[in-house]
Amino acid sequence: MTLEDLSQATAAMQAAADAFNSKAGEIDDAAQAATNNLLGLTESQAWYQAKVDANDPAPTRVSGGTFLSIKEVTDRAPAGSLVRIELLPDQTYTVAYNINLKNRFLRFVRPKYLPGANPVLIFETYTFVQDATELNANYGFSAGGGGSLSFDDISIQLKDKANPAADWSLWSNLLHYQTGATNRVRLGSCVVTGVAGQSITSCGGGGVALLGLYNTVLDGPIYAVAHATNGSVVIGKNRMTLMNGASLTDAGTIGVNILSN
Amino acid sequence: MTLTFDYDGRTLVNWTVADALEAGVPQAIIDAALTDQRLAAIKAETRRRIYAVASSEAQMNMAAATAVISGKAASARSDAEKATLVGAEAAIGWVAAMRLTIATLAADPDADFTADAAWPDVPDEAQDMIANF
Repeated sequence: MTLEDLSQATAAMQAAADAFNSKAGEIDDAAQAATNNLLGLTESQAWYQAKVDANDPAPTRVSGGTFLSIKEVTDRAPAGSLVRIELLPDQTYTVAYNINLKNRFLRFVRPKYLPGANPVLIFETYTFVQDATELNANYGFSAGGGGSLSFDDISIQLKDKANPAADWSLWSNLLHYQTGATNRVRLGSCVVTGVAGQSITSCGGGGVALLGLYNTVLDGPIYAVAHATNGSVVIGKNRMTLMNGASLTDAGTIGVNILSN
Repeated sequence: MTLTFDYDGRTLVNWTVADALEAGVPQAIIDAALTDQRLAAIKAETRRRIYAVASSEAQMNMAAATAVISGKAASARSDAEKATLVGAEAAIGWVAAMRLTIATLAADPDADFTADAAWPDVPDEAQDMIANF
């Protein structure tokens, strides 16, 4: 190696060091900015807002913006976050997929300042085979990892069996049971319609159902909570209407496994 | 206070009177619901008071004892057994008086059915007998 080679190598190393030092400054600045905005970063992860509008020609698909479907929102909202999902008046939305809440607190609302009829939220049905028997189920949510559902001013429709010849499974509701899980649902000024064998949620395998029901109508031979004797139920209710065969629970005993006002 | 009642083919659960009126429920329906709810509450209070004096187990044991004693000839009954029958008769009379009081309290919407003074006292003979079971 000649002195000229060493000189060139030294110059190259110096250039590399200078480049690193200049970048280190940028990295420090970025880290400092992130630290200064720690509360903002935390809130962006814990508080997610979405408006669902299937007719939006340019959905932003970011918090605070517009999405084309509920699935788009739940695919993007961070686990553990409070998610406000605006459903628009006069629109019909369909849940045709099962969604794990992942400890998210989904709050479906109809913006009161917009005119029109309450949005309709339809929970579609499908069939699956269990122990060689075909069973019907509604698509819906599950809360094995925590989380809750809340609805305000929504017309909820639990769709009838996909295969009328097959029985319902225990998933004939919008919040499915998972063994030992706590299912929390809040309904304010909603109407829930369905057919025999359906419910808002159910108790299975020692599950706990917690329901808050205000100014809400259950229409049809459905239950607020089905399979109540498989777990425990707490229902708070005020200004509630049961019609066309609706009941709060399918079984169970007040003061034993059911607590209700 | 909220009411639960049937109206127009629907069951209205935990509605306030104001909410029911606002929703167009006739006053007569609301009044009937208030009466029904008061009657149910008075019956529950009656039951609570009776069981506070004699538990379910005490009542069963008393019934069994009086049946055995009644099977004996009057001349064969001991003084204690005679006292048991007197106490049982007093207890049955007291329960009947409690039930009659339900109608009295239900008819008066201002009557305080939670007050001790609203209910007949337990006869001493009944209290003495129940204490043995």
